[in-house]
Amino acid sequence: MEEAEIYDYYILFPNHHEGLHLHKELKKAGVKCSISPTPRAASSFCGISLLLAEEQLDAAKKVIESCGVKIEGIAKIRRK
Amino acid sequence: MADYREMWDGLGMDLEKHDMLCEALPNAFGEVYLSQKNRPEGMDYFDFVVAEIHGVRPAELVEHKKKGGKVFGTFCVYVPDEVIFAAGAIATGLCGGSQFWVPGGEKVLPANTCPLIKASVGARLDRTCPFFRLADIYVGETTCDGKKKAWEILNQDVPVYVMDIPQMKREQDIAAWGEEIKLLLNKVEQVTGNKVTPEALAENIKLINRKREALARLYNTRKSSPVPISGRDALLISQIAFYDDPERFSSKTNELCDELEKRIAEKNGVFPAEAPRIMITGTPMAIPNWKLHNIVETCGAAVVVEETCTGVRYFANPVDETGTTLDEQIQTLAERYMKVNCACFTPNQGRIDDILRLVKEYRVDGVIDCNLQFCGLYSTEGYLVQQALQKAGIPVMHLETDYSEQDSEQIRTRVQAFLEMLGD
Amino acid sequence: MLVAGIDIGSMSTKAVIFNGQRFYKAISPTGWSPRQAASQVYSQVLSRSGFNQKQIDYAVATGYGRVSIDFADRVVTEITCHARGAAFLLPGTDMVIDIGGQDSKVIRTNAQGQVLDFAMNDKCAAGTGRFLQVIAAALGVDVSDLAALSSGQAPITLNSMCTVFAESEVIGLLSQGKEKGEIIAGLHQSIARRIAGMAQRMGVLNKVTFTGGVARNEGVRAGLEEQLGVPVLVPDDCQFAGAIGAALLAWDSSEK
Repeated sequence: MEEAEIYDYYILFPNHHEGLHLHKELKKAGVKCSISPTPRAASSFCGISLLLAEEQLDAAKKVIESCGVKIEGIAKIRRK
Repeated sequence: MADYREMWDGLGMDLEKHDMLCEALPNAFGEVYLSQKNRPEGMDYFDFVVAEIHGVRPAELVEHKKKGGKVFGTFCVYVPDEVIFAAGAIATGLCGGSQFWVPGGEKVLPANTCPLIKASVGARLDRTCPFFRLADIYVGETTCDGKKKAWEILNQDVPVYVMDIPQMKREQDIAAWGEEIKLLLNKVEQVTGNKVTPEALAENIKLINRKREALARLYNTRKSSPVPISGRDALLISQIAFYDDPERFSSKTNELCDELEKRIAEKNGVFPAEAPRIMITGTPMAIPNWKLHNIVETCGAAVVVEETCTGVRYFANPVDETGTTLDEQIQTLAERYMKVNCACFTPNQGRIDDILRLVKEYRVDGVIDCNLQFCGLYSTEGYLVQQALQKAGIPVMHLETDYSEQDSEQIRTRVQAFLEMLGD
Repeated sequence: MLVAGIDIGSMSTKAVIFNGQRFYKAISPTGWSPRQAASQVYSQVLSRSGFNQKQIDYAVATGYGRVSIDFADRVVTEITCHARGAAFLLPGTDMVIDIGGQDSKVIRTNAQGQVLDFAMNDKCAAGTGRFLQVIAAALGVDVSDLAALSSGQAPITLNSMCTVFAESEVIGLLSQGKEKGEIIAGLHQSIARRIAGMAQRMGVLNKVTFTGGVARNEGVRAGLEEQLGVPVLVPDDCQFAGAIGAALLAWDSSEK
């Protein structure tokens, strides 16, 4: 039996200030996310990233565009 | 890209080895914490502190040191933070809770030493934790034989100042602890070059009392059914209390409590109301040791209180704030700290009384008495704890474990069997 | 009504089917795949009973491999199942001592087979079936012959309970020319002492049921009886106590 593949999305930041800023904006917009340590598969930077489920991805992208927070990218990682 | 490498390098850390540690955290944290359902939003702050565990707070300590400030590393809830902060220094808890550091400790310590001591020594000697690098001086104590000898070994690498903890709780022992606090105060003054004034000490007694109040408020919410916050989350907050900025910590914890109190009013819990309510008593669980809480809660029970140093022992009993002279303040500090019930005291009836009281207050269905492997004091005292609970008709189970994952499945089987027993 | 209990132990997998009157049983080594062993033993017991899987109303899985199977309606720990099974096999039991392949446990139980308290050995193979197997291999004998070989022999005191150290101690004793029977008698005695210590911490009881694969070893049983000073009884189906307990719990569940 193959398990269904589920992916998590991690928004990566140049520093934690940007990360906390976006976290606040996403919360305001009602987009669910959690503050997470950055997985090594996404980046070698030890620090925060924002963890999203696939359903939240488009809404999050809109918020990122409108609030002008600097991000380093979004990493897609298969959940184990 | 934000990078703490420069800071870590400047602290003399082993970057390559530290990298391996950084690699393990995200998975463990994701599995134990972020996978939980219906977490309180106020946990965001604590998630942030963990996600930045070797970044944000160490950077604050680096700034503090640049301005000439000193950092004191501590290992025991008997060490009075108030005195350290009153001299303009920062106290930070240093206990190691990861298996990652254990082999480093085993290079110099016997294998049958408790994992907390091995991990703490390993974190220093392997140079893989910024907090262990940042502390200008460590404050040790004489709580157990393993620690006493470990200080001598650590002292070859970093200055260690040792406080002599009494072994009994008579009047003269409380007085002796007051003398030890006085000596610590002198030492703190000498290291910082600052005088501890009664005004500064009074202010910092209040600062630490505010932290105790915030934690007491948090624990109070856990008395409700359904419980508004998981035991894992509460444990994480307690662990963070040891090294976060006290003022910020108190305000963030109080913010979370506002949310939790609302949840209680709405009967919004993280476990069903009928889930078994478990107390964990025994040895401390230093960050990132979440093993037992995770096992218990993924078996469907809620951990509602910890009678441990990373639980109620840390915040119970505020310090009397009425003292105006150093002598009075030291006396009230000594009285407060000597109320902490550690198995290093004989007798230690206060702990058993506390456990029985907490069982009622938190409406506990069963108690897990768990000690770290090779902790002779707690495993021996376990006999008396279990006896008292059995006499009171409260189901109890004893466990002994370490930081490794090897025995997780065996522990899980026992916890499940214990829960099945409670359910019958 | 028809129910099943499957006990996937570290060394052997047991399955029983219960129709309210009798138990159909099958047993086979677990091997490297608990999942495969479970489905194999399950089909074995089904064909033996003449029923098919669709007719089973409720199945309970237990034992260390309990989570690896997908046909169970409920998963229950071996502690709860052994207590229930032992109380059924030997009514009046107030304590169950189970020594299996990978762990040993002492369970205090009431007349209904409910667990009142329990203790398990720590994370090592000392005093388990695995321990006996390793030592038997070092002595060049079969596990099933241990009891007969040690019968009537004066036990040699063994210092080590760690499987690894005990093995080298045994080899040392052999090279000193000690009799195999005396060494084995010593081995049984040391296992009995260790388990009796666990049991005594729970309070002295009246009637002890001894289950698990090691219960077939008369040397260990007699040693336990001597240490505890109360009758230690081994039911005929000592290896099936867990699976029978699982089936009885399945029966309760399907009645609800």
